[in-house]
Amino acid sequence: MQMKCDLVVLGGGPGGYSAAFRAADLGLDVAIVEARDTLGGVCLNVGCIPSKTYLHQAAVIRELEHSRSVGVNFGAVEIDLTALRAHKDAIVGRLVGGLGTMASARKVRIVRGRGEFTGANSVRVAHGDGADALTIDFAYAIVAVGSEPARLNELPDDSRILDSTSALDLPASSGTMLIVGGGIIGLEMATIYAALGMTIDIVELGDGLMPGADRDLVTTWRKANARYVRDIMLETRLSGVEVDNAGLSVSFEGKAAPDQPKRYDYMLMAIGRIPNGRGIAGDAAGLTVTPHGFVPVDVQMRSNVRNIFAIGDVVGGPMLAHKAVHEGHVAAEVIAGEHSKDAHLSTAAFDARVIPSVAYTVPEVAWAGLTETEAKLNGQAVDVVKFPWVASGRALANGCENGFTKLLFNKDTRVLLGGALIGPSAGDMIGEIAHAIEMGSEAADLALTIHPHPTLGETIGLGAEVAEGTCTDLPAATGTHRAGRAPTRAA
Amino acid sequence: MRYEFHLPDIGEGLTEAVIAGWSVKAGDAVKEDDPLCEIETDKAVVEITAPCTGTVISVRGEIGETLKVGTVITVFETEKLPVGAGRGGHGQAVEEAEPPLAQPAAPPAEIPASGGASPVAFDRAIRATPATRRLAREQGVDLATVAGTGPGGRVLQNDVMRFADGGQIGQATGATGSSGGRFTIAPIPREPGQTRQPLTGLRRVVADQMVRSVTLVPHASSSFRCEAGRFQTLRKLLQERLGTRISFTAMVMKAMVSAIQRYPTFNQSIDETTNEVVTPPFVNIGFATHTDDGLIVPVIKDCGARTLTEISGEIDRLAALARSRKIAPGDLRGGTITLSNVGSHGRAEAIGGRLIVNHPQAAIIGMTRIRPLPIVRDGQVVAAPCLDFHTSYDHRIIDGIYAGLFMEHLIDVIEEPGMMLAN
Repeated sequence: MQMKCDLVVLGGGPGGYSAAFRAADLGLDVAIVEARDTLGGVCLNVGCIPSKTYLHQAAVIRELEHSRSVGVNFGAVEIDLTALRAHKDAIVGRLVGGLGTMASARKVRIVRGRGEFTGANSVRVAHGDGADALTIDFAYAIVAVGSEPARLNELPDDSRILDSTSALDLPASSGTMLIVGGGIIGLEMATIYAALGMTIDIVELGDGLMPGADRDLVTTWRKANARYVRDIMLETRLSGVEVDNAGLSVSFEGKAAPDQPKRYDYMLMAIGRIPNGRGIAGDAAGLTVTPHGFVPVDVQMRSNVRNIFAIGDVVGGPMLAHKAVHEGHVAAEVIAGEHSKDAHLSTAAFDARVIPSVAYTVPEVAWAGLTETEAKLNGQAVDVVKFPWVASGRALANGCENGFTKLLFNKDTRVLLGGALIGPSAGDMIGEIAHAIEMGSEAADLALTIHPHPTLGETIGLGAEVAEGTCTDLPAATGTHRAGRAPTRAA
Repeated sequence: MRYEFHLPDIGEGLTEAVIAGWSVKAGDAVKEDDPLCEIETDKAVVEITAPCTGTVISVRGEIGETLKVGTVITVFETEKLPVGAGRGGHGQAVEEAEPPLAQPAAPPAEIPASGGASPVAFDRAIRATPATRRLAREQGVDLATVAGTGPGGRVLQNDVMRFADGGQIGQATGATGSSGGRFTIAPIPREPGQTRQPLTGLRRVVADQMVRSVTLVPHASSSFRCEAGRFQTLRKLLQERLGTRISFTAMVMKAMVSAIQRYPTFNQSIDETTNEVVTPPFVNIGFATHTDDGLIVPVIKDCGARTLTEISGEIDRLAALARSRKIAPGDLRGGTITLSNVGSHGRAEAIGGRLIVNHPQAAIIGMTRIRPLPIVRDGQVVAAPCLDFHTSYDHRIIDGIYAGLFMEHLIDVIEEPGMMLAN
């Protein structure tokens, strides 16, 4: 079978469908090749959205514990795993159903199967059931095939060894679980299963949890989770896993390795993600794919082949849906611009200065732009200010006074370069910081913006006031920050 | 490993430079300190040398292209990174094109590598909002070449459109305070036979500085004539006694120092960012020097503390360096007042004219050559050697009467050099 289109998008995840929809809105005839039954990719089906459904319940459980300590008692928490799974499935179903509807409304065709290039202008889609393969001739292609969880080959094949996908099936809510990998995904999973009632250990090869985040955030996170995570083994790796009917026997090596193997009921592998660039027969199109499966691209998301673009996890950088969506729009605009000879559209480029990161744990951690660690490494002259939430009335009322807000400014120009928050809704608040960075805002721009009181988001404005020396919600600053807005004029 | 070399700031406050020539191309093997390229900055041509030994992978910057300080101009493959690489030096080591697959348990998903925007890069980035950045791409405008008129040098959408429509000149660059700098300019229609060249390098620096000066400084001007017979006699005497050539320019500078001691406002500046009047502790006199590429103003520092011989020698030395474009950026900065010897070129005699103050200075003095002119002495018209002075000054801080008194003092010293003894 044969079909033709202006643009074929390999992969219907957040990056892929966003690119396809944007291109269709710009007048192109678009097809998406997707192996799953539904659009939405890992994010909607087995990633961000299902995990957030559970994480919200985890946060509620933790809130209930706090409420109990202040006199509001709902009784013991009872968890019905079947109902919880069904709730997750319903949410995923609503979202992917909505995507299907939006695709048809835009006349974007969906082809089920895996696409492989057969040339620089054609892909072949083999259907899973071995039925007739379909050849799609295209003018442009966008590779948006994403990534999959990394695996350790030497692990036994056992249903009690989970990855981030199978973990969403919630096999248990009691017993013990070892989380392998202390990055964002591992910690989110730890948060879910700890709240459900499991005993959690974490093993991490690096010297700290949540690589990329400043250590003060991680220290606060660990304090808040000391009751919920039994053991954190840093600079430690697995050395062997034995399985038997009763469970898993795991031995370790490294700094925090126990002498004896430890027994667990479950193990969850969260050691990273591998890009899927090797499964698309890039050679046939002359497409450069690195040995690790990445597709190198330029700022317009164009590969080494002029009419083939790539976006999302498969191009490297942080593997985040919001990055993929942004890149998808860029690629779609460049392609539509070239296709329709629109000189303006075809100049689109990835030009964002920051990509925010969020760990949707309890407490939530979010950061954007320059971190304190990077500033030190680069020898950059920055003013780092912290607004401790213990000085926020709202944080006290909400029982989250262990959080804080941190902002980094260029010492000379006062321009905001980065920021971080830890506490409930940190991920919802980091957008203000990202926006301020993109706009080139100075400390005064944030400090002079009226933030509503009493809110947690207010701490961003208050932090900027600390930088300006105008904050009256903390003890008076001594010396380190200038008093008031006017620059010091002393010789 | 890869090393990205950034266009360095070779003098304090340099923000951009024009590539004047390349000594290397991609594929060349270079040794540390080999010539890399020449850049033309703020009035001087400076050689940049290779920061490390290795192979040139790529060079960036066409000859004549204006680049911001901090722009990557060369990528090297090197065994040994330069000292300070990545720590506030002029470059940084970069990861190989291949995104590294991390060891298990340090997953690639969580390496905070961003899609091209390194934290260092965006700290140095041009201040412009995302919408302005997109407009610049659409208009084919390199934001690095647009002078922003917004707060803190922010490039606004208007700046981009103005640039796209008619090039750089006409912008009130760095405008702050009262100037505003908002006006609309129609492009000159493109016609057959026309030629167009980008306004770059020294010419662009001069243009920007002139616009800044006339935009910010309310000019007032006046002209004066004095007899210079005794001044000529004194010069002859000094040259004989000191056994060296003494220029009239140097002697006028000495007279200016005397006048500034009495009337210091001529040596002051307004700090536009704070609305303060700044009195410098020295008299640093810039002297306008013509070069083939345009006007350059070298500065003789602390004229009050230097002898006439020193000043005269320094004028010759700096003028020669300026003409060969080898002058150090430091010799072009810090002027507190400017002297222009408008009589030193050509045969045509200037009998008037309006000088442009060199902002942020408050005054400029122009002197003509000394030549015989008819003057009235004791009711008789006689020929006498005369020297004319023109001055323009910042009328915000210098009143007309004050300017008259300053010039009167200057002329008293020229006409009767013995008046120097009075100070």
